[in-house]
Amino acid sequence: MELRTTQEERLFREKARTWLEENVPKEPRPPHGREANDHDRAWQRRQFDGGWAGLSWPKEYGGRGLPLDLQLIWFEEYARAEAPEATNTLYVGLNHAAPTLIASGTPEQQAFHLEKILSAENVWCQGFSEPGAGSDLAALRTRAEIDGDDLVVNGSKIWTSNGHYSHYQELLVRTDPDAPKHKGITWVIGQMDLPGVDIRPIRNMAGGDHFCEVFYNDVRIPLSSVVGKVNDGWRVAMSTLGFERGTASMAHQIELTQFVENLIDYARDNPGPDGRRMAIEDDTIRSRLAAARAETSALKAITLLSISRARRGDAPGPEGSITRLFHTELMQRVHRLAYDLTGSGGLEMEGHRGWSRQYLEQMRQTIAGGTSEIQRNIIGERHLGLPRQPVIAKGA
Amino acid sequence: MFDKFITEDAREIVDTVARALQEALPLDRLSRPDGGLAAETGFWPELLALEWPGVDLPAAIGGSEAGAWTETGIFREFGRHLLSPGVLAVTLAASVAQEGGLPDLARDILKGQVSPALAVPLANGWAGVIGTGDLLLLAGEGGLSLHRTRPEELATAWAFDDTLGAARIRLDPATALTSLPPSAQSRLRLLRLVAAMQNGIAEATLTLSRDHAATRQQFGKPIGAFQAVKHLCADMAVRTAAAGALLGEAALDGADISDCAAAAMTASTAARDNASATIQIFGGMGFTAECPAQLYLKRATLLELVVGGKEGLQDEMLAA
Ligand SMILES: Cc1cc2nc3c(=O)[nH]c(=O)nc-3n(C[C@H](O)[C@H](O)[C@H](O)COP(=O)(O)OP(=O)(O)OC[C@H]3O[C@@H](n4cnc5c(N)ncnc54)[C@H](O)[C@@H]3O)c2cc1C
Repeated sequence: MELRTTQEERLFREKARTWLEENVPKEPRPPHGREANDHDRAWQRRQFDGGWAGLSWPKEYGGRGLPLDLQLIWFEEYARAEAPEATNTLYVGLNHAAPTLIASGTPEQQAFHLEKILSAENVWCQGFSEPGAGSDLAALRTRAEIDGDDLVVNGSKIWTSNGHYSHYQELLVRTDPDAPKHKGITWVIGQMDLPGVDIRPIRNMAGGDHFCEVFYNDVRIPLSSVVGKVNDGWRVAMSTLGFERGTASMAHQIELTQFVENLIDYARDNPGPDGRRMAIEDDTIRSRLAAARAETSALKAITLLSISRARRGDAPGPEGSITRLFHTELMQRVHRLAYDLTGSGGLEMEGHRGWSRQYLEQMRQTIAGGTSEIQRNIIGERHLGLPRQPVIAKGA
Repeated sequence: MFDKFITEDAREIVDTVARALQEALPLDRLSRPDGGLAAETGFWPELLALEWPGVDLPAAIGGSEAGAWTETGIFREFGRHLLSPGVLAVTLAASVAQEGGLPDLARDILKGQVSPALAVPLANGWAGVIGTGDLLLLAGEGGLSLHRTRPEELATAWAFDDTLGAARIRLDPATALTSLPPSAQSRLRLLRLVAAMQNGIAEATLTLSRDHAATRQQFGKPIGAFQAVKHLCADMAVRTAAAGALLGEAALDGADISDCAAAAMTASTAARDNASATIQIFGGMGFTAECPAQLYLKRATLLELVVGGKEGLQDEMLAA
């Protein structure tokens, strides 16, 4: 892994720093709701107009085609400038839908959607999970029947993040109920305002309403919206998930590193939970901070490794699950530490810099996008080659 | 140990309270706009008839002297049924008033003529108040103290647990009606009752998780068939057993501060960890406001704060 700093990298870093200093929004991001979505879109639009969106996207799709190490520098500067959280209501569009369309979409789909995702003109959500199909995603039952040039969709999805703010969704439907369960699924672009789509927000434990239940009643979607082939949706979907579990969370990881540095600064300047001395002098806090710094360094090192792998052109593999598991559980530990540092957590939601709310928000990390237990299964079975956990094969 | 050694009389009272709570205060009350507080306080007069809040307080102030086992058992039910920390505030305020030489006030509290709320110290001279009331019981490192307030002095904040209120106030220690040192009997009571409520939370979340693991199916099986889930449940059972054993120790005659601190510390960890595991076991459902798991987590967190967090109990644990 060569990590020499080149002249090009230095210049890029300077430019990024200057631009961020001048453009990062001064007002804090609203914690949730439509205001948060508006804020995310305005900020993404500003990055797009400034030429800072889609840095590592291929040029032919509206990106800048830069190597991943420059992308990484951007994320570092981004975190340093305390720019708004990169994982926001545009995450699905930027990190799932767009890579999927780039990998498997038709030229028409790409021409129509990609730039609108990058400029935040369109917000996307992910309609994968169903009440009966969470960890066992391939058990999904939302039915789509071909009728002329359309698919006619009936069923329901759940936990659709930002469904109520979205224009489009990545929708997984069952097109062949008789095929083995992984074989009868189709990946289709669903428009959220089609007749027959009914979206109901669900309140979450951190006080927001970011995810939804979505019902489909005879919703007609043109067959031209299918991505990949009919009944080939499982493969299309797995390429997107692989992407999420791989390098897409880089920005988030760097934010975490910055957050740990903020905690260390805070602990130097503020009394600890026992109120008797500065937090950093409290041995338990001290050792947790030290561990957090070491672990975020490890996370960064793992990320760099996967970047150099990606540069060799390897597709993200099961080791993405290692990064993801380490990352999500570390996030929970770090936010628990932040919570413990403030002393007043448990009483006020916003409290000190919103750290209490963040502690609650982080509970999602080990559930959404594949639970920790599922990640451990993947690591054990696909990475280490251990025997598969016995499951009742329902036609699989 | 708690369930093994609780006396027949105590068990009878506790079971009656448990049945009454089950019927009158089902958990779905908490999704009402007021967080179910009206339903709960509306039920307090009936609880009064069932010996709370003076169950282990002297007859001279209107208590019924039914003993620590009964009181502990009742508060464990309160934790299980997610009663607000207001129930803790009432019993403890009466206990502090009585111990601090204010029997008239103690009597008024037990009659329900004063409405106490719990408060914890925050940085820079502020105190954080759970809910609202006209008498604050400040539980801090320095011990316990009672303060009169008017509700309009409270600056409300966005509560971590939105089924309860949260507010801030500046409390001047010089204006306390009475103050007790950390070694006071009332502080032992606080630790024991928090331990009891946390045990209720640990047990309730274990039951929720177990039931969900036995019924929710993925990959054609109940998720409890997967070791990853089964072991999460097993760990919950172990934590719950340890917390329950220490609760029994804390309810014994002659239990000292370190017994009560050990019970509060262990039960708080069990409650918090069990609630977190429950969220995980419920998957997406666990992250919703509708799922009680998150309320158990928030209550466990809040109760831990009331006993001063883990740090607050270190000295007691290491004193002797
Ligand atoms: C905040 C949040 C946002 C989300 N956003 C979206 C979204 O935008 N779009 C979308 O489609 N979905 C979304 N999801 C859904 C998410 O992908 C699912 O919640 C997740 O896959 C788990 O499924 P489940 O909720 O049905 O839980 P279940 O699958 O029922 O899991 C329950 C428990 O059983 C365990 N378990 C299940 N199977 C096994 C096994 N084989 N071995 C060991 N343990 C197992 C799980 O780990 C978990 O602890 C979101 C979820 C959350 C919490």
